[in-house]
Amino acid sequence: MPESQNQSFKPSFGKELNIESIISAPLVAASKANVMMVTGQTRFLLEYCFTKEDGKTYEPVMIEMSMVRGVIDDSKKPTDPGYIQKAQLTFNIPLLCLVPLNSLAIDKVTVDFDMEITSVTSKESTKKVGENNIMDKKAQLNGKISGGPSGDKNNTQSTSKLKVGINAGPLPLPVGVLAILDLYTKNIQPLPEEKKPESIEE
Amino acid sequence: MINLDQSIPCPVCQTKIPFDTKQLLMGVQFSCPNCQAAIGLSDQSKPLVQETMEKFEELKKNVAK
Repeated sequence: MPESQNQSFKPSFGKELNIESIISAPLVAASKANVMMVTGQTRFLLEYCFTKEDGKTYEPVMIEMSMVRGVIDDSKKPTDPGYIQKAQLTFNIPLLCLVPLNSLAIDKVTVDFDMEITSVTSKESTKKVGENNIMDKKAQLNGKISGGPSGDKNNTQSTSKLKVGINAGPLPLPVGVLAILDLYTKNIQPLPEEKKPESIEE
Repeated sequence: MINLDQSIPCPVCQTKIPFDTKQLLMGVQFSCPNCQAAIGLSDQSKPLVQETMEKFEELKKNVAK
Protein backbone atom coordinates (compact mmCIF):
# COMPACT_ATOMS: atom_id res chain seq x y z
CA MET A 1 0.00 0.00 0.00
CA PRO A 2 2.01 2.98 -1.22
CA GLU A 3 -0.42 5.46 0.34
CA SER A 4 0.16 4.21 3.83
CA GLN A 5 3.94 4.25 3.66
CA ASN A 6 4.23 7.57 5.48
CA GLN A 7 1.18 7.16 7.64
CA SER A 8 0.41 4.77 10.42
CA PHE A 9 -2.16 2.21 9.39
CA LYS A 10 -5.22 2.19 11.62
CA PRO A 11 -7.54 -0.72 10.93
CA SER A 12 -11.16 0.10 11.53
CA PHE A 13 -12.35 -3.13 13.08
CA GLY A 14 -15.42 -1.49 14.54
CA LYS A 15 -16.82 -0.63 11.13
CA GLU A 16 -19.76 -2.64 9.91
CA LEU A 17 -19.08 -4.66 6.76
CA ASN A 18 -20.89 -7.39 4.96
CA ILE A 19 -19.85 -10.88 5.95
CA GLU A 20 -18.44 -11.72 2.50
CA SER A 21 -15.99 -8.82 2.64
CA ILE A 22 -14.71 -9.81 6.08
CA ILE A 23 -14.10 -13.40 5.04
CA SER A 24 -12.75 -12.71 1.56
CA ALA A 25 -10.27 -9.95 2.43
CA PRO A 26 -7.59 -12.24 3.95
CA LEU A 27 -8.16 -14.81 1.18
CA VAL A 28 -7.69 -12.21 -1.54
CA ALA A 29 -4.52 -10.97 0.19
CA ALA A 30 -3.16 -14.53 0.35
CA SER A 31 -4.04 -15.12 -3.28
CA LYS A 32 -2.22 -11.91 -4.30
CA ALA A 33 0.82 -13.00 -2.29
CA ASN A 34 0.76 -16.35 -4.09
CA VAL A 35 0.62 -14.63 -7.48
CA MET A 36 3.60 -12.48 -6.50
CA MET A 37 5.61 -15.54 -5.52
CA VAL A 38 4.70 -17.56 -8.61
CA THR A 39 5.46 -14.61 -10.90
CA GLY A 40 8.85 -14.14 -9.28
CA GLN A 41 9.58 -17.82 -9.61
CA THR A 42 8.59 -17.90 -13.28
CA ARG A 43 10.83 -14.92 -14.03
CA PHE A 44 13.67 -16.66 -12.21
CA LEU A 45 13.04 -19.82 -14.19
CA LEU A 46 13.16 -18.06 -17.55
CA GLU A 47 16.18 -15.95 -16.62
CA TYR A 48 18.46 -18.55 -15.07
CA CYS A 49 17.24 -21.97 -16.19
CA PHE A 50 16.64 -21.17 -19.86
CA THR A 51 18.51 -19.38 -22.60
CA LYS A 52 16.71 -17.62 -25.38
CA GLU A 53 17.89 -18.76 -28.75
CA ASP A 54 17.29 -16.41 -31.71
CA GLY A 55 15.21 -14.21 -29.44
CA LYS A 56 12.30 -16.61 -29.81
CA THR A 57 12.90 -20.11 -28.53
CA TYR A 58 13.74 -20.91 -24.94
CA GLU A 59 16.24 -23.71 -24.45
CA PRO A 60 16.99 -25.19 -21.04
CA VAL A 61 20.43 -24.68 -19.54
CA MET A 62 22.03 -28.10 -19.18
CA ILE A 63 24.45 -29.17 -16.49
CA GLU A 64 26.75 -32.17 -16.39
CA MET A 65 26.49 -34.93 -13.84
CA SER A 66 28.76 -37.90 -13.38
CA MET A 67 27.91 -41.45 -12.48
CA VAL A 68 30.17 -44.10 -11.01
CA ARG A 69 29.20 -47.74 -11.23
CA GLY A 70 30.91 -51.05 -10.54
CA VAL A 71 31.38 -53.22 -13.61
CA ILE A 72 32.33 -56.90 -13.41
CA ASP A 73 35.20 -58.00 -15.60
CA ASP A 74 34.11 -61.38 -16.95
CA SER A 75 37.62 -62.29 -18.01
CA LYS A 76 38.76 -62.42 -14.37
CA LYS A 77 37.88 -64.64 -11.46
CA PRO A 78 35.95 -63.17 -8.49
CA THR A 79 39.06 -63.52 -6.31
CA ASP A 80 41.31 -61.69 -8.78
CA PRO A 81 42.15 -58.04 -8.15
CA GLY A 82 40.28 -55.78 -10.53
CA TYR A 83 37.36 -58.19 -10.88
CA ILE A 84 35.02 -55.26 -10.16
CA GLN A 85 36.10 -52.10 -11.91
CA LYS A 86 34.68 -48.63 -11.54
CA ALA A 87 33.14 -47.24 -14.70
CA GLN A 88 32.44 -43.53 -14.88
CA LEU A 89 30.10 -41.85 -17.30
CA THR A 90 28.68 -38.37 -17.62
CA PHE A 91 25.19 -37.29 -18.55
CA ASN A 92 23.42 -33.98 -18.92
CA ILE A 93 20.26 -32.88 -17.20
CA PRO A 94 18.49 -29.52 -17.22
CA LEU A 95 19.49 -27.12 -14.46
CA LEU A 96 15.77 -26.81 -13.82
CA CYS A 97 15.85 -30.29 -12.27
CA LEU A 98 18.10 -29.22 -9.41
CA VAL A 99 16.17 -26.13 -8.34
CA PRO A 100 13.54 -26.89 -5.69
CA LEU A 101 10.76 -25.08 -7.50
CA ASN A 102 7.32 -24.42 -6.07
CA SER A 103 8.62 -24.43 -2.56
CA LEU A 104 7.25 -20.91 -2.28
CA ALA A 105 3.55 -21.45 -2.78
CA ILE A 106 0.94 -20.83 -0.11
CA ASP A 107 -1.08 -24.00 0.32
CA LYS A 108 -3.10 -23.27 3.46
CA VAL A 109 -4.70 -20.13 4.85
CA THR A 110 -6.43 -20.12 8.24
CA VAL A 111 -8.59 -17.16 9.14
CA ASP A 112 -9.65 -16.98 12.76
CA PHE A 113 -11.91 -14.25 14.11
CA ASP A 114 -15.00 -13.72 16.20
CA MET A 115 -17.81 -11.94 14.51
CA GLU A 116 -20.80 -10.03 15.67
CA ILE A 117 -23.82 -9.84 13.37
CA THR A 118 -25.02 -6.27 13.63
CA SER A 119 -27.73 -6.14 11.00
CA VAL A 120 -29.52 -8.23 8.42
CA THR A 121 -30.72 -6.76 5.20
CA SER A 122 -32.39 -8.42 2.27
CA LYS A 123 -31.81 -8.20 -1.42
CA GLU A 124 -34.49 -8.96 -3.93
CA SER A 125 -33.85 -10.51 -7.31
CA THR A 126 -36.18 -11.73 -10.02
CA LYS A 127 -35.49 -14.74 -12.19
CA LYS A 128 -37.46 -15.78 -15.22
CA VAL A 129 -38.02 -19.53 -15.37
CA GLY A 130 -40.05 -20.43 -18.43
CA GLU A 131 -43.04 -18.10 -18.48
CA ASN A 132 -43.03 -17.47 -14.74
CA ASN A 133 -41.12 -14.83 -12.88
CA ILE A 134 -39.67 -16.11 -9.66
CA MET A 135 -38.87 -13.58 -7.01
CA ASP A 136 -35.96 -14.36 -4.80
CA LYS A 137 -35.10 -12.67 -1.55
CA LYS A 138 -31.56 -13.13 -0.33
CA ALA A 139 -30.44 -12.29 3.15
CA GLN A 140 -27.40 -10.09 3.51
CA LEU A 141 -25.62 -10.36 6.81
CA ASN A 142 -23.65 -7.40 8.05
CA GLY A 143 -21.35 -7.51 10.98
CA LYS A 144 -18.13 -6.46 12.54
CA ILE A 145 -15.21 -8.28 14.02
CA SER A 146 -16.05 -8.55 17.67
CA GLY A 147 -13.62 -7.58 20.34
CA GLY A 148 -12.42 -9.53 23.29
CA PRO A 149 -11.59 -8.04 26.67
CA SER A 150 -8.12 -6.58 26.84
CA GLY A 151 -5.70 -7.77 29.50
CA ASP A 152 -5.38 -4.35 31.11
CA LYS A 153 -8.00 -3.81 33.84
CA ASN A 154 -7.75 -0.02 33.67
CA ASN A 155 -8.33 -0.05 29.97
CA THR A 156 -12.00 -0.58 29.25
CA GLN A 157 -11.50 -0.59 25.51
CA SER A 158 -11.78 -3.95 23.84
CA THR A 159 -9.40 -5.17 21.18
CA SER A 160 -10.65 -6.73 18.00
CA LYS A 161 -9.27 -10.10 16.98
CA LEU A 162 -8.46 -11.16 13.46
CA LYS A 163 -5.85 -13.87 13.19
CA VAL A 164 -4.66 -15.01 9.79
CA GLY A 165 -2.40 -18.06 9.63
CA ILE A 166 -0.57 -18.79 6.40
CA ASN A 167 1.26 -21.99 5.66
CA ALA A 168 3.51 -22.28 2.63
CA GLY A 169 4.35 -25.68 1.28
CA PRO A 170 5.29 -27.49 -1.90
CA LEU A 171 2.56 -27.66 -4.49
CA PRO A 172 2.58 -29.76 -7.66
CA LEU A 173 4.42 -28.23 -10.57
CA PRO A 174 2.47 -26.91 -13.54
CA VAL A 175 1.80 -29.53 -16.24
CA GLY A 176 3.94 -27.67 -18.78
CA VAL A 177 7.03 -27.72 -16.55
CA LEU A 178 6.43 -31.38 -15.73
CA ALA A 179 6.28 -32.19 -19.44
CA ILE A 180 9.66 -30.48 -20.01
CA LEU A 181 11.19 -32.36 -17.08
CA ASP A 182 9.77 -35.68 -18.28
CA LEU A 183 11.13 -35.19 -21.78
CA TYR A 184 14.62 -34.42 -20.54
CA THR A 185 14.73 -37.17 -17.95
CA LYS A 186 13.80 -39.68 -20.61
CA ASN A 187 16.89 -38.48 -22.46
CA ILE A 188 19.01 -39.63 -19.53
CA GLN A 189 18.06 -43.22 -20.23
CA PRO A 190 20.67 -44.95 -22.36
CA LEU A 191 19.42 -46.29 -25.65
CA PRO A 192 20.35 -49.80 -26.79
CA GLU A 193 22.84 -49.87 -29.60
CA GLU A 194 21.21 -50.60 -32.91
CA LYS A 195 21.97 -54.11 -34.07
CA LYS A 196 23.64 -54.40 -37.43
CA PRO A 197 21.84 -56.71 -39.79
CA GLU A 198 23.61 -60.04 -39.85
CA SER A 199 25.21 -60.95 -43.12
CA ILE A 200 23.55 -63.87 -44.78
CA GLU A 201 25.95 -66.58 -45.60
CA GLU A 202 25.16 -68.34 -48.77
CA MET B 1 8.76 -35.51 -12.57
CA ILE B 2 12.15 -35.19 -11.06
CA ASN B 3 11.82 -31.85 -9.42
CA LEU B 4 8.98 -32.06 -6.95
CA ASP B 5 10.54 -34.60 -4.62
CA GLN B 6 14.14 -33.81 -5.65
CA SER B 7 15.03 -37.10 -7.27
CA ILE B 8 16.27 -38.14 -10.67
CA PRO B 9 15.86 -41.46 -12.42
CA CYS B 10 18.93 -43.67 -12.37
CA PRO B 11 20.47 -43.74 -15.88
CA VAL B 12 21.02 -47.49 -15.47
CA CYS B 13 17.82 -48.92 -13.94
CA GLN B 14 15.44 -45.92 -13.82
CA THR B 15 14.91 -46.23 -10.06
CA LYS B 16 14.46 -42.81 -8.49
CA ILE B 17 17.58 -41.52 -6.77
CA PRO B 18 16.69 -38.93 -4.10
CA PHE B 19 19.17 -36.07 -3.78
CA ASP B 20 19.70 -32.72 -2.13
CA THR B 21 21.11 -29.95 -4.30
CA LYS B 22 23.04 -28.30 -1.46
CA GLN B 23 24.75 -31.59 -0.67
CA LEU B 24 25.48 -32.18 -4.34
CA LEU B 25 27.27 -28.84 -4.34
CA MET B 26 29.37 -29.98 -1.40
CA GLY B 27 30.49 -32.96 -3.45
CA VAL B 28 28.24 -35.62 -1.94
CA GLN B 29 27.32 -38.49 -4.23
CA PHE B 30 23.93 -40.16 -4.06
CA SER B 31 23.51 -43.87 -4.68
CA CYS B 32 20.75 -45.64 -6.52
CA PRO B 33 18.85 -47.81 -3.99
CA ASN B 34 18.55 -50.55 -6.59
CA CYS B 35 21.83 -50.84 -8.54
CA GLN B 36 24.12 -48.80 -6.24
CA ALA B 37 25.27 -46.55 -9.08
CA ALA B 38 26.46 -43.27 -7.56
CA ILE B 39 25.63 -39.92 -9.12
CA GLY B 40 27.30 -36.60 -8.41
CA LEU B 41 27.66 -33.15 -9.83
CA SER B 42 30.55 -32.59 -12.24
CA ASP B 43 33.12 -30.06 -11.08
CA GLN B 44 32.63 -27.95 -14.17
CA SER B 45 28.90 -27.51 -13.46
CA LYS B 46 29.28 -26.60 -9.79
CA PRO B 47 29.79 -22.82 -10.25
CA LEU B 48 26.68 -22.52 -12.40
CA VAL B 49 24.51 -24.51 -9.98
CA GLN B 50 25.97 -22.59 -7.01
CA GLU B 51 25.16 -19.25 -8.62
CA THR B 52 21.63 -20.36 -9.53
CA MET B 53 20.91 -21.61 -6.02
CA GLU B 54 22.20 -18.34 -4.53
CA LYS B 55 19.89 -16.38 -6.82
CA PHE B 56 17.01 -18.66 -5.85
CA GLU B 57 17.64 -18.10 -2.14
CA GLU B 58 17.81 -14.37 -2.81
CA LEU B 59 14.45 -14.54 -4.57
CA LYS B 60 12.93 -16.36 -1.60
CA LYS B 61 14.26 -13.70 0.78
CA ASN B 62 12.93 -10.88 -1.39
CA VAL B 63 9.49 -12.46 -1.53
CA ALA B 64 9.45 -12.89 2.23
CA LYS B 65 10.14 -9.18 2.80
